[in-house]
Amino acid sequence: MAHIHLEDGAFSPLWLLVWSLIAAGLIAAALFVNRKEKIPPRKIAIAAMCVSVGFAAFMVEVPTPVGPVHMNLTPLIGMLVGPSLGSLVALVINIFSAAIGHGGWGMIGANTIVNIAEIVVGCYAFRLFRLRLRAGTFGSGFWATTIALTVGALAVVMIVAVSEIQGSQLSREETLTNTLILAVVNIAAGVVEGIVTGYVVSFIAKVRPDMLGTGRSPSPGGTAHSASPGGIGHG
Amino acid sequence: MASEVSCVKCPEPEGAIVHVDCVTHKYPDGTEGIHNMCFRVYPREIVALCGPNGAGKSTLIEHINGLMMPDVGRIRIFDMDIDKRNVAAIRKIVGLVFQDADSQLISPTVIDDVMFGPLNLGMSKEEARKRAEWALEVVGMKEFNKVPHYLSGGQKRLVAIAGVLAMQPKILVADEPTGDLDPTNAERIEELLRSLRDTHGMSVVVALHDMDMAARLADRVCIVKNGSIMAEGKPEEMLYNEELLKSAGLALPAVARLYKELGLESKKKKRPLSLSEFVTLLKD
Amino acid sequence: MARRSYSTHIPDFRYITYFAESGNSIVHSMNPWTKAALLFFVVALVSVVMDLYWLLVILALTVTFYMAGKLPLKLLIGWYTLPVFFVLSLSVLFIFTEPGTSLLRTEIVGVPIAITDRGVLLMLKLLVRALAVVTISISLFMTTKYSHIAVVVSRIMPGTLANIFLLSYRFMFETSDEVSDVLDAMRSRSGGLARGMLRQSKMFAGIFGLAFVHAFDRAERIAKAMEARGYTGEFPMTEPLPMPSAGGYALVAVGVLSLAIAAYSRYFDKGLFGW
Repeated sequence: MAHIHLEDGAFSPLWLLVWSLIAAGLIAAALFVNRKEKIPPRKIAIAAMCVSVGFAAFMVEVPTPVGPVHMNLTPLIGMLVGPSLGSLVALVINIFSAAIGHGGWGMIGANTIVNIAEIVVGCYAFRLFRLRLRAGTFGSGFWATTIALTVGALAVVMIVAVSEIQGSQLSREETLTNTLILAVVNIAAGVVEGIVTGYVVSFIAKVRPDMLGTGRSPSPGGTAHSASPGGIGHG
Repeated sequence: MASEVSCVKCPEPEGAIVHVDCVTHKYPDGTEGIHNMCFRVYPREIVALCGPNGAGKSTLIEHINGLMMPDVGRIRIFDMDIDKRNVAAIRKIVGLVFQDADSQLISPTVIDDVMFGPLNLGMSKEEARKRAEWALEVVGMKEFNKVPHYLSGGQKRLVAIAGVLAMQPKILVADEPTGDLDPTNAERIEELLRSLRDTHGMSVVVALHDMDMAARLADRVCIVKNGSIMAEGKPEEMLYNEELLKSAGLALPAVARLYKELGLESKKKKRPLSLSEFVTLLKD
Repeated sequence: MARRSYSTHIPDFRYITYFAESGNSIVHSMNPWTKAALLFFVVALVSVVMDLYWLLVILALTVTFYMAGKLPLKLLIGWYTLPVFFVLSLSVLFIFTEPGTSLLRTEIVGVPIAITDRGVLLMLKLLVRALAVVTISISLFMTTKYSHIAVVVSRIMPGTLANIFLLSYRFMFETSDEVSDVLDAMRSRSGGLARGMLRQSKMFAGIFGLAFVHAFDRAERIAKAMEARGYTGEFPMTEPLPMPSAGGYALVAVGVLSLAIAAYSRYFDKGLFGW
């Protein structure tokens, strides 16, 4: 996750409330689209599995020359399930993450806003590259992920600069400078994730193109045979 | 939209509680899951659907429960033709136990999961709990509050069956019920399926490619190939027909192989369907 | 017991649930609502309290709470890795840029930099806050049965969200086991020694891709199983969850009082605790 990497207590209670309310608004919109009466069990199950896999995959250390990197996969989730279901996935992943100390409980709101930005950008950027620009699956996955994570990193910068760190005497501008340096590191990690996600998308496109909405599924041996809810063409 | 026309070779069955009448279903990629499928289930019987992987067994099974709708043909359950409007009523009658028991156990505890079906039927919590406890007793599962993840493979299968039993269907359909189980648990499941027919008066449809189990369990065997039933009949006829089984990508059950290799066929001895029957035959 | 975790510094829900289901302590027998309330109060307190001394008191109390649950301290310390890393990765810059008295001066490529006392204090406060919340959070999950968490979640979250949470928690074990297995298979064929970032990326991409494909397959099966049993949008939660006892309410009252005092002293009377 392009988490804010701040734990509880870093923001003042007022800013925790502000970001939580904004996130609540976004989630309310996503819940309205995916109302209990209207959402089929398939979508719930897919969202739940994306949370499980996203969380399990996050625990995997991908060795890089600069040390182990943990994958975010939110842009990929956006490509697979779309922005509204993806927003719910982001929130649930952030709740599980907070439970184990990866991000604070009070930071769930701010982290969810960042992840929703990544999911939305990841989803639409992928569609743009794949459908409009006719890029290959690797390229579409790579660019969509890198752009989404860059947006996420910049969202982190914005949120931290606006909220300021509790107890810090630095001005907003100085906080901004500090956070920008961190953003550069996050963006570099995002490029690594972009490469991996590009390959993941290529893999999925070969094995189950329906998951990306780019083809028909194979007939089953107990497997699905209908397109994913958020692949290309779905909301 | 399902067609009203019956295919020529599908006779109207008398007394059948399930009638799959010339059903064809095509998947989105164009492959036919089942083609002109004619299949029947009668009261208080165990029917084995035997065929290799990809033959269409699972597809047929999912049609009977209303999870899939036919492109051509119709499916009658008792006096109801399955369509989107009566699917809920169909699922009260036809219970489906999936091959992957894990994916069926969705609730935090065993008792929660078994109560899932009865609660969906509109029962109160107390009624649903009684039903669930009864179902768990039938399958011999005592650990009500265990987390499904911590159950053994056999226990998961039993709880999955209980979860369907608790809805008290008249027909139980099981997809590879003993697929990845050890022999002890597989035997337990077999016994359970028999008792569902004998004690609880249910009809049971079992999809499998284990010919030994089909021999021991089934009252009637249907050989499935390329989305259709290519042959059906009594186990002692179907499961001793080596040519038929081979053409369907199946093998003779062990008792049949042994029976033939010992030359007992020429002596016109009664064809055994289980090891104990074989031993009795040899002793005689 | 769950299989071995494949990360030594990220809490594994398989371990966490194992302790919750098999543990027996005063904390295990506490009402889940009380524990949830305590989590809320700790989060609120670390957000309001600014004094390092009181933050350390909060941290000490949370660690005591963890130990009262008869939970292994070594595990907790290992699981502090990520929060410590996150705090340090941010505050490593603040310790140089915060105004204050220089504690240590040095030069990097001719540029003078100094670690300041305020910078170090800021870092320490961030660290203590983080660890206090991580401790109480992990304690809650390691001492609360999975079925109780399910009830709490279903009561406080909207339906769709609760269903997604519950299903994902349920299948997190299987998914984690599957990813573990694939990684083990990779390592058993010396996969961990892959040379070159591109080759490495392809390998891990295969693992993640496979995990997602299997997840979608599983989701289809789960959905069919739900539909086959007439799913109407509700997951039944039958585990009875009574309201807290008098002791639980007393703890909550202490939490409310502490928060009120902390907020008052921060916003209205800074002299109260020597702000």
